[in-house]
Amino acid sequence: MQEYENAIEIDGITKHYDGFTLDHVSFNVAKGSIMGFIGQNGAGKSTTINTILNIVKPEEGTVRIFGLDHRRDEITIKQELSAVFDELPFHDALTADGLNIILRDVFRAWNKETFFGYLDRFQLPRRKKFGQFSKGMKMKLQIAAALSHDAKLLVMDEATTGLDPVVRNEILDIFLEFLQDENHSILMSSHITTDLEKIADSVTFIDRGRILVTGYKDEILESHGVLKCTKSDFADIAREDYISARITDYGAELMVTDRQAARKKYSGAVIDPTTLEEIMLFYVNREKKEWRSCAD
Amino acid sequence: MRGLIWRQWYLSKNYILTGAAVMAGFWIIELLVFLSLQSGNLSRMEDPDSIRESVAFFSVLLNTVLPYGILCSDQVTEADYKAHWNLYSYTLPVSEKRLAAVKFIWFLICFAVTALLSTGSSLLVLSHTDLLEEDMSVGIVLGMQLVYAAFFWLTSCMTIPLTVRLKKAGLAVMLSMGVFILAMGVVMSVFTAKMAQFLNDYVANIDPAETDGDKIVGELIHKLTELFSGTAVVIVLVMLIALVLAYLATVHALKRRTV
Repeated sequence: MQEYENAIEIDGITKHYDGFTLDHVSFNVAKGSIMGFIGQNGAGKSTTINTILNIVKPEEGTVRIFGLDHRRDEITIKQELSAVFDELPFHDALTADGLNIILRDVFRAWNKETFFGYLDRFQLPRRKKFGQFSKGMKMKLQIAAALSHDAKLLVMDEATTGLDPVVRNEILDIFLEFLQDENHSILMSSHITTDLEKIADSVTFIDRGRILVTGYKDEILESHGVLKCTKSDFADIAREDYISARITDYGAELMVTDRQAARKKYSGAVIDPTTLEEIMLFYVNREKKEWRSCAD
Repeated sequence: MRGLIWRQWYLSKNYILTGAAVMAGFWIIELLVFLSLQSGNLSRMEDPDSIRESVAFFSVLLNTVLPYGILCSDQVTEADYKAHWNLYSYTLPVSEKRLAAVKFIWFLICFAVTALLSTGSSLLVLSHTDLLEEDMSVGIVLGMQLVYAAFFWLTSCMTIPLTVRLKKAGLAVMLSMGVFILAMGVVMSVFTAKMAQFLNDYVANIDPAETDGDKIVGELIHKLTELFSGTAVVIVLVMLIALVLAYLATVHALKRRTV
């Protein structure tokens, strides 16, 4: 496989559905990094991920994985790619022993010892049918399968949704371990932003099929901030300086995209650091009635 | 590919083993009836040979029809959608051609085993009667088996891509049976007309002095067997073409990548 800088390169992918459009989505996932893909339900995360996996065919745009065309070189790419979904994609009647028999013929680099090693580590039984597994066990099983064929890229669609915090943390630790190898990369979609805040190197926000922000997580958290002021001060703030404003009885909270500039311009205002969740909320709710948006 | 074929077996085995138990039960009943005809209560009935022939005839019919429906039906494709396997399979380094090939290799394995059981059990039953020497030849039995096998084969060839496309095995079976019955209706109409013509010509050419009914029937069966031998080649050819078309249709349906 050729040398590559980005594990995933998406450029301008567009797909129209009845009532929804994925609109010129572009972003890169750098090799050796983990990108959080954030958006509310129905924002276009799964459509984007399914496009990356060549399950959905875009009308426009290109996707390159490991520097290769994701359609022309699909089989080569998928030897080194693992996908993890929120639902277990294996039949209830199967067992881990059975899954090993199936996948060892599918992946050239399938490693039985690694697979059973993960099963032991996760305390998953080998002969119990998957139908009797809990949600957490099913997710661990998927991850064990995903990590047992020397994959260079993990693509996860809402993989930690519905899991309790203990299992989520355990899984996040596995991901960090996986990223110890600089050739490994992860794209992880989720609407649980706290998980991504813990482990992501970069984040991409998507809403209604459009990318809102993409970049390094630290830079995004550094540049964004919540400006707090009174209602009367709010009238003096230029609309282009904030994403949206949350008006309450006690005053106004505004999401600013350039904290340093806002601090200089509005020297009397308090500007607090923010979180990925708040950034998502301010972007997503920018058109709701109880919020005030710069687009109003 | 072996792993994916093993997966077909693993996910079908409960259904197949249950079907095999049903078939075994049926064969045990058959055996008991023949034992009774040989030295039990049925042997003491009036004209046991006639009963034996009737039982044998219906046994052959059931041995032809039952095994295919019980042992050879696709239990996996619809379940794959329900289990989200289809979504996952598109993330594997396996092409649609290979995914479709797995389905058809599994179908051929099931079909071969079923055909062996069906034909073997039928001939075994007939070997214990005088039917083979009298009214039925091995050719006619095999011909009957072939016609039913072809019927099953052709409907399966339609069912597999339709299930992939519609995600519902029941609906796919209904549709393919409907299409097949419609097509068969047309074929049978043509065949019946030609058969009537053939019989009319045959009757017109019978020597009026010939009074041996058995001889006439024997000649007729011989001619029909000859006619069928020619048709059998066409049936096998149609089966092969249907298989190739079904495979291509399945690849096409899988390429739509609906999940």
